[in-house]
Amino acid sequence: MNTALSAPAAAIFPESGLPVRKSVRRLRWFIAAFEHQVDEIAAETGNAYEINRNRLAATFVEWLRAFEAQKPSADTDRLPYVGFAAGLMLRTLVRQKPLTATAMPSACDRSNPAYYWPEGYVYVAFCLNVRALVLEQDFHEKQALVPALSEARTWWSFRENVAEDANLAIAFLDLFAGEEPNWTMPDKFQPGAVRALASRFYRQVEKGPKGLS
Amino acid sequence: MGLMPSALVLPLRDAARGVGTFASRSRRLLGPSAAHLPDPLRDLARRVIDGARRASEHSPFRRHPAASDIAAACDVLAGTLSPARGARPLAAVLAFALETGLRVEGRSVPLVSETVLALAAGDALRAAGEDTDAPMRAAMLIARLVDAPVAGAMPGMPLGLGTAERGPMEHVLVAALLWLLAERADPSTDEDELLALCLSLTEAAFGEIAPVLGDPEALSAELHRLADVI
Repeated sequence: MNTALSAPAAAIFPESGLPVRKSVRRLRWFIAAFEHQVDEIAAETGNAYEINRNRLAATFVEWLRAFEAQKPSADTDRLPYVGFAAGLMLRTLVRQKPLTATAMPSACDRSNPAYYWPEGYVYVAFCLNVRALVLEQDFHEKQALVPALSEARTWWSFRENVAEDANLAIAFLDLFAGEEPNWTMPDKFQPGAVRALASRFYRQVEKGPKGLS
Repeated sequence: MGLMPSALVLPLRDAARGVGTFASRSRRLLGPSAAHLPDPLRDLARRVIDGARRASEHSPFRRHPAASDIAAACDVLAGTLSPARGARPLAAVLAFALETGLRVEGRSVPLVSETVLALAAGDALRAAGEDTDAPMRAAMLIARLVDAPVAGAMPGMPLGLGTAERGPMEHVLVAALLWLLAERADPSTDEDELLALCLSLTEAAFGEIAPVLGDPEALSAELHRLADVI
C-alpha cells in the first residue's frame, strides 16, 4: 500500500485551530488541504498534476450543499455520517474532475492504482485522509483500510462503475475503508432508526457493482 | 502625494487608468495594420503606445490597494467606519477587484472609474441604517453599483463598444464583496489569493446567487452564508 494512504493524515493537512470536521467546511482549508494532498502524492509517485481551482471551488460548493442536505440530527448518527460525508466528497470530486495528471514516470507500473488512475487515486486518498482525521479527532477511532485498496481489479471496477454512476463512489469509499457498502442506494444516508426498521422488513440482498463479486 | 489635494486623487487615478486603457486598445488597433507601415512610423507608434502603457502602470496614482485600504473597506462594510472616511478606500479596493475579476473573466477590461465608485458607494452606505449588518450593506452596495456607471468603454475607442456587461459586473461585484466579508483571523492573509478564491467561489455558487440579486434581504442571507464558509 502506498504511504499516501497509510501515513498519518494529520501530517498531510495544514494546521488549523479548528477540528477538521469544521475546517473542511471552509473553502480556504479545503483547497489548501487538497493541494497538500496532491503535493504529497506527486512527491511519492513522481506524477505531475494540474489543479483547476474553479472546479475545486465548485466541488466544495456542491459537496457542502449535499452534506447539509442529509446531515442527521441524532447524535447516534454522527459517526456513520462521517463516512457518508467522505463518500459524498469522493462522488463530487469524481464528478467535477478538478485534477488532471499531466505526466507520469515513464517506467511506472500501470497496475498500481496511483498510475492506473492517477486522479482517482488522489481523490480517494484525500477523502480517506479527511475521514480518518475526523474519526480520530471526534470519535477516537482509527480508520481501517482493506487490501482491496491496493488491488488492480477493484480499481478497475471502481473507475468503470463511477464513470457510469458517480453515486457508486460513496459505496466504493466504504469498501476501501472496510465498511459495508450500500450498492443499491449509495447516495441516501440511512439514519440508525431507518436502518434498524428496514432490516426487520426486508431481506438484505446486496448486489455488488460490475467487476466485483 | 502628500501635497496633492485629496479631491484630485480619484480623478487622477481615473486619468491614469484611461491612459492605460487607451494604450492597450491602441496596440490592438495597430496590430493588423502594423506590418504595412513604414518601419520608422511603426516603431514610433509602438514607442508612443508602450510609453503611455508604462506611464499608466507605474503611475503613483495606480497601485495595488494597501493593507490599510483593505482594512478600511472591511470596516466601512462592518459599519465601524463612517462612509465619509471609508468610501474612498472602499472605491480603491473595489476598483482593483473589478479590474482583476473582469480580467480573469477573459474579457477586455472596461475602464473603471474610482470617482464614480466612491460616489455611488457613499450613497449606498449612507442609505444603510446604523443597525444594518455587513452582509446587508454588501447587498445594498451590489444593488447600487450594478446600476451606477462605474465601468464602461473608453470614449472614442472603436473596440469594446458599450458599457460593461451587467452579467460579469454582477459576478465580480459579488466576489469583491465576499472578499471584504471574509474573516481575516490570520494576519498573513494573502489578499490576492483570497480575492481569487472568492472569484472561484462566486463562479461555483452563482446559480444560487443570481436568482436573489434583485432582493437585498435574500442576497444578504446568501452573502452571509457564503462568507461564513470562505
